[in-house]
Amino acid sequence: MGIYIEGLTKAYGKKRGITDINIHLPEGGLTAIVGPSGCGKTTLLRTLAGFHTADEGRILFGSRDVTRISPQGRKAAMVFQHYALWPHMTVADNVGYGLRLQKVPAKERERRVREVLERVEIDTSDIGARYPQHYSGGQQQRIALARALVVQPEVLLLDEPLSNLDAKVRQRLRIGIRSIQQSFGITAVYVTHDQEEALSMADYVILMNDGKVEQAGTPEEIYRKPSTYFTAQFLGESHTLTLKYQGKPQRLVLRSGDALVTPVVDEWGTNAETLERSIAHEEVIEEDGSWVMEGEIRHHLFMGSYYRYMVEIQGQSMFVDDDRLLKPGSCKVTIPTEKAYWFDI
Amino acid sequence: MRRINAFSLTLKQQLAGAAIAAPALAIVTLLFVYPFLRSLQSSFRSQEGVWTLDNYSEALSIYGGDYLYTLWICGVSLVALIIITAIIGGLLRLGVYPLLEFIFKIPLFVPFVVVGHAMRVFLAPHGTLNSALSITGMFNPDILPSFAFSSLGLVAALVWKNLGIGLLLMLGAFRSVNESMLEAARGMGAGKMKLIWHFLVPMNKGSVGVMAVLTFTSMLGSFSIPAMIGNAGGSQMIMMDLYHQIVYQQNYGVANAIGVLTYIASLGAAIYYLKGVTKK
Repeated sequence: MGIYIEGLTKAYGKKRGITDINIHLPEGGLTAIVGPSGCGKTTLLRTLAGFHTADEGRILFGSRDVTRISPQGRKAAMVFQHYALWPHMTVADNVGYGLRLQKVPAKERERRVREVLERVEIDTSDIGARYPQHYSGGQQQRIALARALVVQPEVLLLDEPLSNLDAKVRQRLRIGIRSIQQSFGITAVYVTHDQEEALSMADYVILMNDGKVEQAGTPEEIYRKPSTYFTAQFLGESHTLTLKYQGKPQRLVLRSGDALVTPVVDEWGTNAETLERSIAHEEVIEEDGSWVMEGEIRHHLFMGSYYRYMVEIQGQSMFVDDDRLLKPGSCKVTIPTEKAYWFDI
Repeated sequence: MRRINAFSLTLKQQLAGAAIAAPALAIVTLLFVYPFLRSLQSSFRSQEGVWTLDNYSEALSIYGGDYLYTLWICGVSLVALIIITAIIGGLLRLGVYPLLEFIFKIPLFVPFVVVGHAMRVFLAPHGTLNSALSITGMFNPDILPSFAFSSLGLVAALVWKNLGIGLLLMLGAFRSVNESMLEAARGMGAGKMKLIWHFLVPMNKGSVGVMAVLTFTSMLGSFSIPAMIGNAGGSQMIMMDLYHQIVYQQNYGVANAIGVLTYIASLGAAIYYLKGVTKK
């Protein structure tokens, strides 16, 4: 079922949490809420879970208004950043607790617990004797996911579930969580501060800033068509340059992988005049569907499969990635116009 | 973190360490070990100074019933205290009620003798409770039971007196439980009572055990409350018997035997407590 959020506001005393959130989260999809620390993403998730009471607005799970319903009654299950597995219960008891409260008979409970644990790839041979602390961090998070899924919630809420894990486990679990969510066909809301995680896992991304929705859309839309300066500079490995364009200074946001660096060499003579004009006016020019500007390669870093160059443009530094090894010195920086975003200052 | 090996310390450092520990050791030795050893020795000697087991046989034959009664009263009070403090502590942990928290801690600062007197006034035949009940017109004050002079009054007074310390220990432990663990349970459908009995109490069973031991030993040794209220005409708490032996009989051998028997009753609890403390 889809989630409809209408005019949702939550404040902590005088401190603002979230303000006037209006958004629809698609049914059966994974929606990522991303944003910097303190932007209100966790407040939004916890309000969806019922751990916070909304000051204003409504939350609908499908057609069911859950705004004033307690967490117990929302049919939403949450996966926490620190797993929140109960250390005094065995893995079987942890996963089966929700079913126990639903008064599911013991045999049926055991069958469902084993089934869901197998789906998250946890060995079920001794779950009745082992405690959560006997498992690794990645396994604990999968047990927590199983605990949330076994009660067949209508909505699955995930609060930065991978942020405590090391990079390799995180990568693997991203795919794991995504495929489990898809196989269950459950509507999921995933909070993360990691934009790469949001873009790679989600069907729909909500970018939040200062308690409000800055932009929402598919990962491609939000990444390729940022509507605000905040969106453009928050997503991807972006750089902001203040450059003169059409006679006035403006902010140009571009991403490391989108720019092309060409050293100033003899065969570049055809562009020399244009470049000279650009330097003379301290302006960036448009040429053959690209923005062209003059820069200076200062340093380079070997990154394994590519080189990362620190290029200085009009006294400002940015990184440009290229798989060729280039010498320091003057260069031409070219950015396809559709991959560069201009914003008024 | 740098580990310090005791053998690698210089003599000066070892002396400094001993000097720091000395006052505490001296107090334990003077106020606990020495009196206890004297009491133990005296419990095995007759008034003529002969080694004997008579004090124990006399203590058990005269006061065996009171001994069991004391254990029963303390056990019942302890169970009631654990249930009450777990529920109050749990509810305070799950919500923010600073005024209620303050009120529940008041018994911590009320002396035993005041509790005894208050309960006497409250639970007496024509005390506050019975008077309040008779106002409703549903009860005749002359036929209402006198709780003050019954085992129930004793239990009520002991529970009320220990409520403050019990709650302090219980609430402190409950507050150490990570919020997300409780939220995970709430999300699964657990209400407040389930959060208390399925999570807060079992996750803090060590602290609950320590609280139980401390209050049990305190109840076992309580004197003022049994002296002012209690089971009129029936069995009485063992400290009253000890008092009787010292003041009226001046039979220190039997009094010390009662003391040692009481100590044995609390010994198991004390071992549990020490194990818990050293584990932490």
